Amino acid sequence: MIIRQYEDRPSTESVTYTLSKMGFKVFRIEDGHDLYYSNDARMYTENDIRVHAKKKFFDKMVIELNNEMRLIFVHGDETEAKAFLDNLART
Amino acid sequence: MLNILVLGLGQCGNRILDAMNREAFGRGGAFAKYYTRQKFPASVKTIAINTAINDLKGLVDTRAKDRLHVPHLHGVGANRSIGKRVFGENKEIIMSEIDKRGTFDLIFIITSAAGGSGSSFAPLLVRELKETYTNAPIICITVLPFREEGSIFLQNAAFCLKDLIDEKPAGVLLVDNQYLKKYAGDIKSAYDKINTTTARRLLFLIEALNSEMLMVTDLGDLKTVMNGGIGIGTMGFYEASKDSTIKSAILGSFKPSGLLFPTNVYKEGARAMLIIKGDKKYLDLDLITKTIEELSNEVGQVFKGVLVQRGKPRVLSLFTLNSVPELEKLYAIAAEAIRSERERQDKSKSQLDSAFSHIEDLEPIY
Repeated sequence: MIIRQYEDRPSTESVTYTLSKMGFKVFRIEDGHDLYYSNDARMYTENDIRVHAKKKFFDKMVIELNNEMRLIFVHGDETEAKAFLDNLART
Repeated sequence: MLNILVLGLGQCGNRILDAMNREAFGRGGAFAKYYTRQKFPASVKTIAINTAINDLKGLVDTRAKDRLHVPHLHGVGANRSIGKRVFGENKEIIMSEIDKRGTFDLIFIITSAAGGSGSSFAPLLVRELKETYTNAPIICITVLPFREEGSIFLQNAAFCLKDLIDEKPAGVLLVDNQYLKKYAGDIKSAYDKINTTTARRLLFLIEALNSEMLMVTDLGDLKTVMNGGIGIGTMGFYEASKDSTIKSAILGSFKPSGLLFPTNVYKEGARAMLIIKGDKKYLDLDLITKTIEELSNEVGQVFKGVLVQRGKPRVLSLFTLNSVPELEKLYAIAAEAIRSERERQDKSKSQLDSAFSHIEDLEPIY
């Protein structure tokens, strides 16, 4: 998993578009409920959106956005996760 | 899926197109075209256009329906004025044949700048296509001649390139036969190798533009790259060995040995696009990003596309230039050739005039 902090909040549309450009198909978008512990705030915050996508049977990626902390979580293969963040920055 | 049109004009353009079609038939052998289908990486339509029917007959891997003979005896004899007239007379036939192939997102025109049909058709065709397919960028792959091919070819190359740039296609990618002569000893195998190399690079580009990528670059980026500098550019290529890093592969694609036209990319480059294909284990994204950031400081804007594919890393670089000193040299040689040709013509004419002057006041006596 990779975590990055963002300046401008990426929209769900741009996340979906970037995933599709990489060959991933989004199959579920849900309100997030994973908790993230912030050292700065010394508290748990709830992730807002969770986007599930897959390319092949085992090739899956899950993107989570935490608006409160301005964080993006990318779960999946590390190379693809890095590429996703790079591509997202360009959209 | 991208819809791409590839037009091969004149003998040279036809042969590069034929090489593309051969690659698309895969390893099916000489009879593949009779029993298999072409496997282009996108929806690619090809048409070979020529006034010389023998050149069209000489194509091996281009289907008959993709060959368009523009009737004018057996070619225009490297005469661009005749070529332009023939295009005007047959414009409707050519455009209706293209129209049958549907609509396009991207158009490639492959032509030699030096011959007759291709060099005279290309600028006019760019004008027509721009009017009809307003949204499709047109990229001209223009082949420059061997400098020792003669003054007519040099003259054609000089004027064709000027006409072409005046028509403002999305971009012109140069392929220099003189520079690529190093590929092989004899002229025939040199031509074959140049045609195949150019065809493979174009297919590499088409495949990348049409694929889902790990790091994404697309047609919009290609347009931006082609808009850079003076709109003239070329392509480079590098295939990494087993032990080399991805950084050396990227930098390798800028080396003179991989370029299709002699230039110093670091000095003259305006914008670039890098397309990297290879096995995931070779693709260190942090290193790729870092290398490209370093390159951007020297070359200008660099777009990157990364495609996961089996095999060692292969890198295609495509760039536009801010200045083209090699082209200035070509124009200087062409101007010199035109001047000496004119002097020779004037001399021959005055010799003939003085020969005729011997009988000027005489009448036949029987």
